[in-house]
Amino acid sequence: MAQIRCPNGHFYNNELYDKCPYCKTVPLDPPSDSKMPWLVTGVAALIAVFCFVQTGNAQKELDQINRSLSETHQQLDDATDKLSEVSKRIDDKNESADIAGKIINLFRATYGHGSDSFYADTPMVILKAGGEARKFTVYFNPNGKGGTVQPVTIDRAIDARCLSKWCSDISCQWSSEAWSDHKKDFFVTPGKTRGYNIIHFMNDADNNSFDVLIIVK
Amino acid sequence: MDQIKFPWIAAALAIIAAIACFCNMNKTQTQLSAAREKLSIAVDLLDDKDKKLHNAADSLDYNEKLEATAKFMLEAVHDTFGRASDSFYSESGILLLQVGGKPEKFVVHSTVKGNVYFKLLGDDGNDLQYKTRWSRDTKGRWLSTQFKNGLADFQVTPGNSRGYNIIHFSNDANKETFDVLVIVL
Repeated sequence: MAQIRCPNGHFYNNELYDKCPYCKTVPLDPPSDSKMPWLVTGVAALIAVFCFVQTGNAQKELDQINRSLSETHQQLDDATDKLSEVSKRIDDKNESADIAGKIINLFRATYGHGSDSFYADTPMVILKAGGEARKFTVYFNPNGKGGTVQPVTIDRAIDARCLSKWCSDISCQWSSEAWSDHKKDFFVTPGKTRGYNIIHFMNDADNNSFDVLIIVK
Repeated sequence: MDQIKFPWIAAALAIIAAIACFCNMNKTQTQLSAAREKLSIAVDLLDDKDKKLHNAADSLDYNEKLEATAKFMLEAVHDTFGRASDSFYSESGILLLQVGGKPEKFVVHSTVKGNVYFKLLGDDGNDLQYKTRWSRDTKGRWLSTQFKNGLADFQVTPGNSRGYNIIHFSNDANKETFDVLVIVL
């Protein structure tokens, strides 16, 4: 049983009367806000479902990212360990590499370099007795001075009797007649004699020169 | 009245559920954003470490090659200079001196009879024009007047010219010879 109010303000039981027993007026439609709660419920439910689905998706992605993060951290730890190990080996090697660099520079300072425009790419060539020829590159930029470069082995110039382990049976040859881009390859072929020789390169225009030490083992 | 209240109770519950889900979604999204950022930082760090590792490996490789090359060169020099035989040799096949610096000495071993002579190349007026960095003013002399127990000290004094010279040692009894490479820097 429900009491309702007619448009003229009379209260009556709507289960007993279709119209107002006082003024016979037809009752108004139920207030529109009686549908409102269901509408609100529906919208809220939709929002809840949407949020729930979004949360589920986000959670899946979060789990995936957390796994990736865990793997990445593991890789990072491995990389840090490797880096530490390599750094330690570099520290151990630095001293010997420093000495090695000094030795090589020592030979470079003495052999293989006439000037910044006239030099060989190595101060020393080490060959195997009876073995194959080796080449090195000679760089020559006459800078307008001109001139030609002829290699000379020292045993033609000094008394070879004053030298021990002198190997005079090496043979030398340019790779070509012409200089290409201010450089040219030079081949040295060892003989059967073990020992050493010195090849002297000189530019006849300005007498700029350098030597290359040849060792046949 | 009960009929009126029920929908609102359902609506209120639905709203509470929606708010809870929204808050949960928001929290998860925040966690997701933070995780993405952490992952991005971790990946950047990993890239950085990888680059450093790559550079370090290159550096190590270069150092090892340098060391191997120098070792090979020195072995070649020591195999070639400083030794005639097991009874006639110098303690070193190569001598490094500072230009204008102090003399250095080394020991010559000779256990066979005979006189041991030395000669610095160029001493006898050989044609020096073909030797680029010939250190002509390098001097050598015996510190010992004779071999004692097969040993004698030999001293080399650098001059003021940078370059190289070769000291030739010979034994007049058995004609054995060896050279010592001198580099003045």
